[in-house]
Amino acid sequence: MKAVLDASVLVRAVVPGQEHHAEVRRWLRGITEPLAPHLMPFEVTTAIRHLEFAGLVSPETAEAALIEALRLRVGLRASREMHLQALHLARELRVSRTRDVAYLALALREGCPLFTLDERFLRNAASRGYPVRHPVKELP
Amino acid sequence: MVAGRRRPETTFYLGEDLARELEEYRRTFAVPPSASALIREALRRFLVEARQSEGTLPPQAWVEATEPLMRRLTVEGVSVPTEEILRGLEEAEAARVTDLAGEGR
Repeated sequence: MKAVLDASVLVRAVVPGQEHHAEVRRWLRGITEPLAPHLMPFEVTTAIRHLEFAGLVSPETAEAALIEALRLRVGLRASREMHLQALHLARELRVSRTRDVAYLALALREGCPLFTLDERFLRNAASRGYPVRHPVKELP
Repeated sequence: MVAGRRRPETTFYLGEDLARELEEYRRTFAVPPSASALIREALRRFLVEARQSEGTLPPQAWVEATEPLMRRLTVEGVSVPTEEILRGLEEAEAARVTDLAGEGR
Protein backbone atom coordinates (compact mmCIF):
# COMPACT_ATOMS: atom_id res chain seq x y z
CA MET A 1 0.00 0.00 0.00
CA LYS A 2 1.20 3.50 -0.85
CA ALA A 3 0.96 5.81 2.16
CA VAL A 4 2.24 9.10 3.49
CA LEU A 5 3.77 8.65 6.94
CA ASP A 6 4.36 11.47 9.34
CA ALA A 7 7.37 11.68 11.63
CA SER A 8 5.44 10.49 14.69
CA VAL A 9 4.79 7.13 13.03
CA LEU A 10 8.44 6.54 12.27
CA VAL A 11 9.56 7.66 15.72
CA ARG A 12 7.03 5.35 17.32
CA ALA A 13 8.33 2.47 15.23
CA VAL A 14 11.91 3.08 16.28
CA VAL A 15 11.56 3.99 19.97
CA PRO A 16 10.12 1.20 22.12
CA GLY A 17 8.07 1.62 25.25
CA GLN A 18 5.28 3.56 23.58
CA GLU A 19 1.69 2.47 23.24
CA HIS A 20 1.14 0.32 20.10
CA HIS A 21 4.86 0.30 19.33
CA ALA A 22 4.84 -3.37 18.26
CA GLU A 23 1.57 -2.99 16.34
CA VAL A 24 2.90 -0.02 14.40
CA ARG A 25 5.97 -2.02 13.43
CA ARG A 26 3.78 -4.90 12.26
CA TRP A 27 1.57 -2.49 10.32
CA LEU A 28 4.61 -0.92 8.67
CA ARG A 29 5.48 -4.26 7.05
CA GLY A 30 2.41 -3.88 4.83
CA ILE A 31 3.42 -0.49 3.45
CA THR A 32 5.03 -0.91 0.05
CA GLU A 33 5.61 2.73 -0.84
CA PRO A 34 6.11 5.09 2.11
CA LEU A 35 6.13 8.75 1.17
CA ALA A 36 6.73 11.98 3.06
CA PRO A 37 7.51 15.64 2.45
CA HIS A 38 11.19 16.57 2.54
CA LEU A 39 10.81 17.93 6.06
CA MET A 40 10.27 14.47 7.55
CA PRO A 41 13.92 13.55 8.31
CA PHE A 42 14.35 16.92 10.05
CA GLU A 43 11.29 16.21 12.16
CA VAL A 44 12.47 12.73 13.09
CA THR A 45 15.85 14.16 14.09
CA THR A 46 14.14 16.90 16.10
CA ALA A 47 11.87 14.46 17.91
CA ILE A 48 14.73 12.14 18.84
CA ARG A 49 16.94 15.03 19.90
CA HIS A 50 14.07 16.31 22.05
CA LEU A 51 13.91 12.95 23.85
CA GLU A 52 17.65 13.09 24.43
CA PHE A 53 17.54 16.73 25.53
CA ALA A 54 14.71 16.00 27.97
CA GLY A 55 16.79 13.17 29.46
CA LEU A 56 14.30 10.49 28.40
CA VAL A 57 16.85 8.55 26.35
CA SER A 58 20.64 8.41 26.47
CA PRO A 59 22.73 10.02 23.71
CA GLU A 60 23.77 6.53 22.58
CA THR A 61 20.14 5.41 22.31
CA ALA A 62 19.17 8.59 20.47
CA GLU A 63 21.95 8.10 17.96
CA ALA A 64 21.18 4.43 17.38
CA ALA A 65 17.46 5.17 16.96
CA LEU A 66 18.12 7.98 14.49
CA ILE A 67 20.55 5.91 12.42
CA GLU A 68 17.96 3.17 12.13
CA ALA A 69 15.07 5.56 11.48
CA LEU A 70 16.94 7.10 8.55
CA ARG A 71 17.48 3.66 7.02
CA LEU A 72 13.79 3.32 6.19
CA ARG A 73 13.31 3.87 2.46
CA VAL A 74 10.88 6.77 2.23
CA GLY A 75 10.15 8.62 -1.00
CA LEU A 76 10.73 12.25 -0.07
CA ARG A 77 8.80 14.79 -2.09
CA ALA A 78 8.79 18.56 -2.42
CA SER A 79 6.99 20.91 -4.75
CA ARG A 80 5.80 24.49 -4.79
CA GLU A 81 2.22 23.35 -5.33
CA MET A 82 2.38 21.22 -2.19
CA HIS A 83 3.30 24.21 -0.03
CA LEU A 84 0.58 26.35 -1.54
CA GLN A 85 -1.96 23.60 -0.96
CA ALA A 86 -0.69 23.29 2.63
CA LEU A 87 -1.47 26.96 3.14
CA HIS A 88 -5.02 26.45 1.83
CA LEU A 89 -5.52 23.35 3.98
CA ALA A 90 -4.23 25.14 7.08
CA ARG A 91 -6.86 27.83 6.50
CA GLU A 92 -9.59 25.27 6.02
CA LEU A 93 -8.62 23.27 9.11
CA ARG A 94 -8.10 26.47 11.08
CA VAL A 95 -4.58 25.64 12.19
CA SER A 96 -1.63 28.00 12.22
CA ARG A 97 1.06 25.40 11.66
CA THR A 98 1.65 24.09 8.16
CA ARG A 99 3.78 21.11 9.23
CA ASP A 100 0.88 18.66 9.55
CA VAL A 101 -0.96 19.93 6.51
CA ALA A 102 2.15 19.60 4.32
CA TYR A 103 1.88 15.85 4.89
CA LEU A 104 -1.82 16.00 4.06
CA ALA A 105 -1.18 18.02 0.90
CA LEU A 106 1.25 15.35 -0.25
CA ALA A 107 -1.25 12.58 0.50
CA LEU A 108 -3.89 14.36 -1.58
CA ARG A 109 -1.46 14.90 -4.42
CA GLU A 110 -0.39 11.24 -4.39
CA GLY A 111 -3.94 9.93 -3.97
CA CYS A 112 -3.18 7.91 -0.85
CA PRO A 113 -3.93 8.16 2.89
CA LEU A 114 -1.85 10.00 5.47
CA PHE A 115 -1.05 8.05 8.62
CA THR A 116 -0.36 9.96 11.81
CA LEU A 117 -0.43 9.45 15.57
CA ASP A 118 -1.48 13.03 16.19
CA GLU A 119 -5.08 12.29 17.13
CA ARG A 120 -6.12 15.92 17.42
CA PHE A 121 -5.00 16.66 13.87
CA LEU A 122 -6.41 13.35 12.65
CA ARG A 123 -9.89 14.10 14.04
CA ASN A 124 -9.82 17.61 12.67
CA ALA A 125 -8.87 16.54 9.14
CA ALA A 126 -10.97 13.36 9.06
CA SER A 127 -14.07 15.27 10.17
CA ARG A 128 -13.76 17.26 6.94
CA GLY A 129 -13.47 14.11 4.88
CA TYR A 130 -9.71 14.04 4.36
CA PRO A 131 -7.97 10.64 4.17
CA VAL A 132 -6.09 10.82 7.48
CA ARG A 133 -5.83 7.65 9.55
CA HIS A 134 -4.22 6.12 12.60
CA PRO A 135 -1.99 3.17 11.71
CA VAL A 136 -3.49 0.74 14.20
CA LYS A 137 -6.35 2.40 16.05
CA GLU A 138 -9.95 2.98 14.92
CA LEU A 139 -10.93 6.46 15.98
CA PRO A 140 -14.58 7.52 16.23
CA MET B 1 27.68 4.02 -14.09
CA VAL B 2 31.03 2.82 -12.69
CA ALA B 3 31.88 -0.80 -13.55
CA GLY B 4 31.56 -3.04 -10.52
CA ARG B 5 28.96 -0.80 -8.90
CA ARG B 6 26.09 -2.02 -11.06
CA ARG B 7 23.18 -3.41 -9.18
CA PRO B 8 22.01 -6.91 -10.05
CA GLU B 9 18.59 -5.58 -11.06
CA THR B 10 19.63 -3.61 -14.13
CA THR B 11 16.24 -3.10 -15.75
CA PHE B 12 14.14 -0.21 -14.51
CA TYR B 13 10.78 0.92 -15.73
CA LEU B 14 10.37 4.64 -16.19
CA GLY B 15 6.75 4.56 -17.32
CA GLU B 16 5.28 6.33 -14.31
CA ASP B 17 8.11 8.88 -14.22
CA LEU B 18 7.74 9.57 -17.92
CA ALA B 19 4.00 10.05 -17.61
CA ARG B 20 4.60 12.54 -14.78
CA GLU B 21 7.22 14.44 -16.80
CA LEU B 22 4.91 14.57 -19.79
CA GLU B 23 2.05 15.92 -17.69
CA GLU B 24 4.28 18.63 -16.19
CA TYR B 25 5.64 19.49 -19.63
CA ARG B 26 2.16 19.88 -21.12
CA ARG B 27 1.14 22.13 -18.26
CA THR B 28 4.17 24.33 -18.87
CA PHE B 29 4.64 24.46 -22.64
CA ALA B 30 2.31 24.61 -25.63
CA VAL B 31 4.75 23.06 -28.12
CA PRO B 32 5.20 19.27 -28.35
CA PRO B 33 7.99 17.87 -26.16
CA SER B 34 11.17 16.18 -27.31
CA ALA B 35 10.99 12.51 -26.33
CA SER B 36 14.70 12.36 -25.62
CA ALA B 37 14.50 15.37 -23.29
CA LEU B 38 11.66 13.76 -21.38
CA ILE B 39 13.55 10.50 -21.00
CA ARG B 40 16.69 12.34 -19.89
CA GLU B 41 14.74 14.25 -17.24
CA ALA B 42 12.87 11.16 -16.03
CA LEU B 43 16.13 9.23 -15.83
CA ARG B 44 17.86 12.09 -13.99
CA ARG B 45 15.12 12.18 -11.36
CA PHE B 46 15.12 8.41 -11.11
CA LEU B 47 18.86 8.38 -10.43
CA VAL B 48 18.59 11.16 -7.85
CA GLU B 49 15.98 9.11 -6.00
CA ALA B 50 18.03 5.93 -6.35
CA ARG B 51 21.09 7.68 -4.87
CA GLN B 52 19.01 9.01 -1.99
CA SER B 53 17.81 5.48 -1.33
CA GLU B 54 21.29 3.97 -1.08
CA GLY B 55 21.73 2.21 2.24
CA THR B 56 18.01 2.25 2.96
CA LEU B 57 15.60 -0.64 3.22
CA PRO B 58 11.96 -1.08 2.22
CA PRO B 59 9.56 -1.31 5.18
CA GLN B 60 9.34 -5.07 5.63
CA ALA B 61 13.12 -5.56 5.47
CA TRP B 62 13.61 -2.48 7.65
CA VAL B 63 11.35 -3.84 10.40
CA GLU B 64 13.33 -7.09 10.42
CA ALA B 65 16.69 -5.30 10.33
CA THR B 66 15.79 -3.08 13.29
CA GLU B 67 14.53 -5.92 15.51
CA PRO B 68 17.91 -6.40 17.26
CA LEU B 69 18.02 -2.72 18.25
CA MET B 70 14.41 -2.84 19.46
CA ARG B 71 15.18 -5.88 21.61
CA ARG B 72 18.26 -4.15 23.04
CA LEU B 73 16.39 -0.94 23.84
CA THR B 74 13.54 -2.90 25.42
CA VAL B 75 16.00 -4.77 27.64
CA GLU B 76 17.56 -1.41 28.58
CA GLY B 77 14.11 -0.23 29.63
CA VAL B 78 13.73 2.59 27.08
CA SER B 79 10.18 3.87 27.41
CA VAL B 80 8.89 7.15 26.08
CA PRO B 81 5.37 8.59 26.04
CA THR B 82 4.19 9.51 22.54
CA GLU B 83 2.86 12.82 23.88
CA GLU B 84 6.45 13.77 24.63
CA ILE B 85 7.43 13.21 21.01
CA LEU B 86 4.52 15.29 19.70
CA ARG B 87 5.30 18.01 22.26
CA GLY B 88 8.91 18.07 21.11
CA LEU B 89 7.83 18.60 17.50
CA GLU B 90 5.41 21.36 18.47
CA GLU B 91 7.99 23.14 20.63
CA ALA B 92 10.55 22.94 17.83
CA GLU B 93 8.13 24.46 15.35
CA ALA B 94 7.08 27.20 17.77
CA ALA B 95 10.74 28.04 18.42
CA ARG B 96 11.43 28.08 14.70
CA VAL B 97 8.56 30.46 14.04
CA THR B 98 9.91 32.76 16.75
CA ASP B 99 13.39 32.61 15.20
CA LEU B 100 12.05 33.35 11.72
CA ALA B 101 10.16 36.33 13.07
CA GLY B 102 13.37 37.60 14.65
CA GLU B 103 11.89 37.58 18.14
CA GLY B 104 14.33 35.10 19.61
CA ARG B 105 17.29 37.47 19.75
